Amino acid sequence: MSGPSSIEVRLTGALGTFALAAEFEAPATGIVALVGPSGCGKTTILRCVAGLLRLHGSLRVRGEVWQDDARGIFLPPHARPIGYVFQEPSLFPHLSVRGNLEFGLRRVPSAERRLRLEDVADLLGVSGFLDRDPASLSGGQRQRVAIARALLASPRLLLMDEPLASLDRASKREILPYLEHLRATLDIPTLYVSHSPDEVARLADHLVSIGAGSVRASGPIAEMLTRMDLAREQGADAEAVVDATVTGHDAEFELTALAFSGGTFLVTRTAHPIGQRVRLRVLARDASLTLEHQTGTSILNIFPAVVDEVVTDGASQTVRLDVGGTPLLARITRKSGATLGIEPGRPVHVQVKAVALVD
Amino acid sequence: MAGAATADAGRVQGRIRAYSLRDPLLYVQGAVILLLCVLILYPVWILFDVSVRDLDGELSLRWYMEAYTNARNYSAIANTVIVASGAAAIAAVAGTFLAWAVVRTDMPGRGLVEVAAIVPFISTPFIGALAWILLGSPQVGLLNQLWGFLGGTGPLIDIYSLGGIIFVIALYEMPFVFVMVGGALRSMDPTLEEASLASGASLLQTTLRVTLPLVLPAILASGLLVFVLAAEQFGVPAVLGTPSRIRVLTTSIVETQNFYPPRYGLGAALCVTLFVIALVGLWLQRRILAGRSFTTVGGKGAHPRRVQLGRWRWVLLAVCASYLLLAVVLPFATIFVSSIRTHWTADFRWEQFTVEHYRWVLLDYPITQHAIVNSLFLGVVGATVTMILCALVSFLSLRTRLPGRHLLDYLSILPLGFPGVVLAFGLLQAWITPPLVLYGTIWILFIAYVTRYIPIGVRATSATLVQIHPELEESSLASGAGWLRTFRSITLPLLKPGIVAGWALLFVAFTRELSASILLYSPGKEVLSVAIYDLYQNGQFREISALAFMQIAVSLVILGIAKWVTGLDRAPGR
Repeated sequence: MSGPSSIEVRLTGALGTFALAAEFEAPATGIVALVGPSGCGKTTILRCVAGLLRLHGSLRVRGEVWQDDARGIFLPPHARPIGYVFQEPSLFPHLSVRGNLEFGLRRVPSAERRLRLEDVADLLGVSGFLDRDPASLSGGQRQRVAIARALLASPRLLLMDEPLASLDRASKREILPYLEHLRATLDIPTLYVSHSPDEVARLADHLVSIGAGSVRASGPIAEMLTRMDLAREQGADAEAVVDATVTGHDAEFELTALAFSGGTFLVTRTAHPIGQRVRLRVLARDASLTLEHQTGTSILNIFPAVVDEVVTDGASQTVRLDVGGTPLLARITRKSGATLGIEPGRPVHVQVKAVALVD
Repeated sequence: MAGAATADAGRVQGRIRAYSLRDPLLYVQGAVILLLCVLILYPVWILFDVSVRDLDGELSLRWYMEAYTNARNYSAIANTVIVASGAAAIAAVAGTFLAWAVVRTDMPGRGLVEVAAIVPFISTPFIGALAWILLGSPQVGLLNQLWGFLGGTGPLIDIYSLGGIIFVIALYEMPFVFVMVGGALRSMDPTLEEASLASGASLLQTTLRVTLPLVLPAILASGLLVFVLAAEQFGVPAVLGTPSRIRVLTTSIVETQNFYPPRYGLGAALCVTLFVIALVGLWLQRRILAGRSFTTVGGKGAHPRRVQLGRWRWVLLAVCASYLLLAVVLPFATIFVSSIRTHWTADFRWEQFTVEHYRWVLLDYPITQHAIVNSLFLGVVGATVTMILCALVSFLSLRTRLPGRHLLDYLSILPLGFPGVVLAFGLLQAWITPPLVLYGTIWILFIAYVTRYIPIGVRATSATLVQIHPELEESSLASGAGWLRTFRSITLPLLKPGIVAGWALLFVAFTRELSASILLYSPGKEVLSVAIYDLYQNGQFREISALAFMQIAVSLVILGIAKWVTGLDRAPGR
């Protein structure tokens, strides 16, 4: 993974009484989420990547060295091709919305500009208030402007520090589709700090889990969400994500077929065109297990699977399944586990009661 | 936001209502409003009236004609504007630079340079001007003597010039800019600068395009404050301008009273002119401050970044240290040395040192003893009465729901727009004729001081009162105590820190007041600043130095005690 398509971070240092020793490598594509409880050092890592904070270590992004203390290299923040979105929208209050957007744009030589102001403004739906004053915008609108400003710096790495955390629920719901849209349309690798499992499941491609100043695990999202050590902490809220492709629409029953490596999900009809990639979220408590393929059931989505791992937690068990290469989680009672003889290697059928479509 | 809203709601709930017309609270408020009107509005009305009547008492604009067409007078107006703008511009630039260096760079000795903020506690521009005469007068100024000794020809600097006046005023008013801009720089949301850096703007671009525009309101507002203070200045232009016949409005107004017969109408017309200049400046300042403030408290309590200056930090320190040298070290060393020497020359011999000037000033000079007694009386009694009045005004306007409490607010900030000379002129006209003749008594000085410093007193008490939760007073009311009992045994004790801090500021201000006193004193009713001014007119610089040094020492002791008692950190007024 090392090389021109990865982000390599090695940082050690102390801020006051807080010590950080973080080391991870992540692909420089899609959205890489840094997750963990508050105060675990996520933001510190992000600020170090931006160069706003300096700890000891090295940073390499897509083959470019941004920091290497062994060789005495440290690029100041303005020399790094980044865009930064803060938790608070941080718009310049003395500039109009357009002025804020142009601020980022102006710092990029015109030959290196990869995005036009109008396009980005349209993409984030801020074209309607370009001449307004930041103070007159709602929280959600301000954050969209802040994201647009970061994009207009033509970043080769976008850094987002809990961009939704300061927003109310309605504004969050307003912004999430824009973020998903960005992921789908622009190919800008993003480091995304979050402590919301919901955002992460919707947006992330790669997960770096951080706890108390060090990296606990790092890997692709589907794998990471179903890792037992991490899933266990979520208990009944554990979930898996499935990346699937729209393969057809059934006009008669108004259903849409979504194919993934382990079979085909049928969901209530959506407007997605055939061929579009979508993400599904399956909660562990919405998946149940049977030994045979049940026929007399109202559940549509039933797939053959193999038990991978079982973790017992009081009266409940969390079971990781391999569904044709895609990991899924099922939450069952310990009694059911014993009755069905659930153990690693056992072939079962998984019945999925409900799925949520992410985009 | 939610927190602010709740606090606000709490405040409204905590307000005391008057339940009937028989409630004495209504009458107390009425009396306070009436008192403020008599103190503040009556002299202004008299002043205006005098300015539009000719010698026969008929309505006429002849005084204004004379004020604006006579070369002596209009050059005074022009000089006032030049001095005020020049001092404001220099103070704004230097103060902003100094604030930036202290707050936002890694300059060594930042704590030391912050001493700049307390310069106005130590000295007034008037004392500074006297010290600078010793340093920069063309003939005997120490710096000019040194220049000649080093082989220079002619004087190095001439402090008796427009430039000299501007320089000295800027030097001593600059701390207002330093404090306001420093505050704005400290409370700025640090993520704005980080956002700029992350957008690819270099440190210099960020400083010029983000930091500077964000603190611009603070720079403009404090610059305008300096403009107003400089326009109102009497002491500096009086001692630095008079020898070279440079007139400004304040000195011209005082001059009209020294003619025989006094030319009240012309003086009043010049007063109204100065009043308008000050009001326009303050009105602009309030508008800027009332506009959107760009500086808010940042999200995660992060501190703004400090610029790493490398080797340049020593250069910066040298620049900042030279301010302290010019404003504090040189002048005060000069005053001290001058006060204990027999001759004012650059060559020092031990036999020239003496305490004779202190002895003479304290024991032989007839005015000093009255002046010390009068200044102490005005300082102690005046500051006490003003603070009690201000506590009452704050209580009435913040903690009651009486109709007319907003009028109290407006009345209590109005004197900010009164140049001391203008207020004194108005009071003189108002209280020189029967039925109540106050001129010739110390009470006219008393009224002038109280009136002029009501805004500063109210600011001290209101700032403390808004931090005290109204529930404390509500509990008292709920326990059956009346409002007077509540005010006396709950509000006043809780306000004590604010009152002590305000009292100390007023005490120091009252023992230094010159620009109103110069018109209002009468023989036997001199105050300290007037005594110093009198010595200046006799050319007794060593004696001035002794008296000025004592004045500075007393101020420092009082402020030291107040700071020790309350942790005071407000900039003073004068």
